[in-house]
Amino acid sequence: MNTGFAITTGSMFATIISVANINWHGMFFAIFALAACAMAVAVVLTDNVVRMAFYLVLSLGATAGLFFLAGAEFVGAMQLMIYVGGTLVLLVFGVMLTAQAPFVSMKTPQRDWVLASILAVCLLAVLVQASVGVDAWRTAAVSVGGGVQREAPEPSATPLGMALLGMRVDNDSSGIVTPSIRSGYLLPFEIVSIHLLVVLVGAAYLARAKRRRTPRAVETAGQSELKEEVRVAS
Amino acid sequence: MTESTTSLNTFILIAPELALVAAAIVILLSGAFLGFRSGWMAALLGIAVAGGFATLQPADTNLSGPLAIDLFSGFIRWMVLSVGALLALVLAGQSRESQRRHSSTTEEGGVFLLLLCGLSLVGAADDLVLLFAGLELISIPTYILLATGRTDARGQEASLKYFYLSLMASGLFLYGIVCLYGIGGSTSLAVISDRLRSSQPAIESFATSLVPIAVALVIAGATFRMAAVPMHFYAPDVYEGTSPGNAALLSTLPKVAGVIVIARLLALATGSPGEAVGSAGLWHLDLSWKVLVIVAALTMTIGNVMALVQSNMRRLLACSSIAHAGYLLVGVAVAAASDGQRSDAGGSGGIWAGLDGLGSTLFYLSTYIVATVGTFAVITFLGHKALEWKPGNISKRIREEVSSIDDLAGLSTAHPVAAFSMTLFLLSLAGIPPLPGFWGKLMLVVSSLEVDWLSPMSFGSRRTWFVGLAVTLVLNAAIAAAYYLKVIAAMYFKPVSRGVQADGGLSAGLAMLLSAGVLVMVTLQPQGLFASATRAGSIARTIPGQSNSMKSSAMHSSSEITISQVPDRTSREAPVVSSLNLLPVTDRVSEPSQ
Repeated sequence: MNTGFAITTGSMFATIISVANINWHGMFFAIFALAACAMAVAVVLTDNVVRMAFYLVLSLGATAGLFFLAGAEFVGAMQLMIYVGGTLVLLVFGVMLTAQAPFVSMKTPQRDWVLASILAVCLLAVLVQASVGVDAWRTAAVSVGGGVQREAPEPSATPLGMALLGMRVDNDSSGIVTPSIRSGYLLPFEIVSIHLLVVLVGAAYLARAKRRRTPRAVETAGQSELKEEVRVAS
Repeated sequence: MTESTTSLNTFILIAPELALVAAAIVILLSGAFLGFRSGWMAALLGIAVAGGFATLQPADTNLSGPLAIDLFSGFIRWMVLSVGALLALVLAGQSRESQRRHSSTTEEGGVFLLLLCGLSLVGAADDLVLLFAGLELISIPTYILLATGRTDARGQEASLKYFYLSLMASGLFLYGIVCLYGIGGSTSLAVISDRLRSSQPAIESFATSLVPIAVALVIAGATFRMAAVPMHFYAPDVYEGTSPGNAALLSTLPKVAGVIVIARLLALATGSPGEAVGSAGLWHLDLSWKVLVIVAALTMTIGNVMALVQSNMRRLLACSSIAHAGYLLVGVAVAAASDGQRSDAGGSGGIWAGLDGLGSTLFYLSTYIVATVGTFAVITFLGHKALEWKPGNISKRIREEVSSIDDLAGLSTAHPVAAFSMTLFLLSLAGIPPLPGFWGKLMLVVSSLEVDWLSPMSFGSRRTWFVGLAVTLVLNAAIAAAYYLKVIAAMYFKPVSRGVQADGGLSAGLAMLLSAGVLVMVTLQPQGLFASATRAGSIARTIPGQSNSMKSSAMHSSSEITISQVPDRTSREAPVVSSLNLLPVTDRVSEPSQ
């Protein structure tokens, strides 16, 4: 299996090098994959929180590029909108708001490095084992010389929208099995709206409590309950 | 009654949960606009209304949309509602102090009801999306309750710690269910289960390679909620930093969620008795019980050893709750192994007549929850007043919570009722004979010893693993008795040191008495809880709505279906839904309880 993978990548690089017939697909794959991996490593290696957030943006953006290359435009667009657009903006705001002196630079102790790397290697081993273990994934869907062989169906948001309303209009495209029990996402959708309600109420409540009692969380962290009482009383 | 799409019936089936949501919204709105202030009392009313709706629910299995209402989800629902009522009383008692400062507890009451709704939905979820949405509906209110419970530095540290770790655990769990989605090609648990148990070579090889990730990550996500070993380290800090009522909440409700999640994960691979399961399903169960046995043994031991050296009461209870997560996992591991055995046995599934592992876990969970909530109710109820210096020479008495074990010294003379209740709860947690905790531990040990009862013990065999697990459990129960008795000894045999006063309000005292009453009732009449837990456990071993070979065996009217002859479910032309309609669902439900 590994040899197959090596041959694929090897021939991919060979075609990249040959000037006459540039394999744009392979080249972009290499660029995006390298960017995603390198930036992910950079997130781990840097000490500065703001830089971590920035590297994470690049890594997630490159992953979105990989999705586009694989013909999954919808997933790619979602990746861009949700991760790069939404989550990371929140993350950056969070970093900026909480970036007090002790939190900007995070030094990881030696012990944590060891533990984290053991965990990460374990997870990587399981993931690699799984990703090379599937027979269906060994044959490349994307040929080295040509373009995309397997035509992905035209992505559209209609099935998803209908499913959110409780109806399933989509068909299973895998062709192996047609699951017959399919329910829409009406109920989970309603629950997510309850989530939003809880979050809004909680945020408002916490903000109000904080304004009255503790003007700045970081400031209070070092002070005792006694001083807090004094401030409330005064 | 089966419907594959979300319909009006779906919403009728979750009327209790909808009642909780409606009550929460009423509480939140009236708190915001009408100046309504007694949120906890309204929350109790909401729980009562939800309980009323729950009694109207049909007892047989109902599938509708993403929901599966059966005996298991009914058991979980009643457990959630009753524990919710007790916890609301405890939290109402605790918030008396903060009520005076913030002049508002309405939000907490409303948010707490939504938490209960989330947990109840997790019990009824038959769909990955609903399962995850329900789990998050447990987590988010927990963050808010933790953050509002204490606003001092340590409370903030506790809530932030819980928040970040919970986010990470949710992420892990999400990765795990993505793999399950990859196996099934659908979010419906029934479809995933069908494909996981399938013996088609293409699906099998695919599922086999994804199963380890799914099992590892889902169990990792669940262990955070249960505070079991790889993710246990947050518990002592968080419990110590937050208020006793929140600690009671954290040590009970997320554990229920964790047990449900693992039970659902296991049930994916188990079919009806005598049914052939493909190699992916067997591999799933095999991996699950091995992981669970190791996690359970480590959790019990680490939790108890950590608890031995604690002098802070809440840290001690945190460590004890870690240890109890280990006990709970014993039953789940037994369920995985016994289901694997049942599937191995093929047609002769009837030899398994012993105690059901999952049923034992549910029984133990119920007894643990009552005793733990009771313990924290006592701690909330008690407290001593200390002089506090104020500027301007005004000295005011503020309330300090019971923190160290020494604070409880001499409680038996000051508050004999509280001391007696506490003793009752701690002895039940320790597993001293007539109390329910003992019966729970006994069930767990016996079910663990019954795995592969007839096969000889050899090195590395399944029987050896489980005998080892049972021995570990018994040894741990002995260790645990030491620190529980330390607390009891302090209450009864030490002189009063700091003067314990009861200042936690009437409601926490009421919760204490109610918990003690429930405990005594279960001690005297354990059969009712035992029967319903066993029934719920046996139902939970299969995913409702999965297609199974019962229909085919009924059609062939012969029990001689060998593994090779079982028609493949997934490639059958007849759609699964129609086969479900043919199936006498109620018969299928009542069958395991015979």
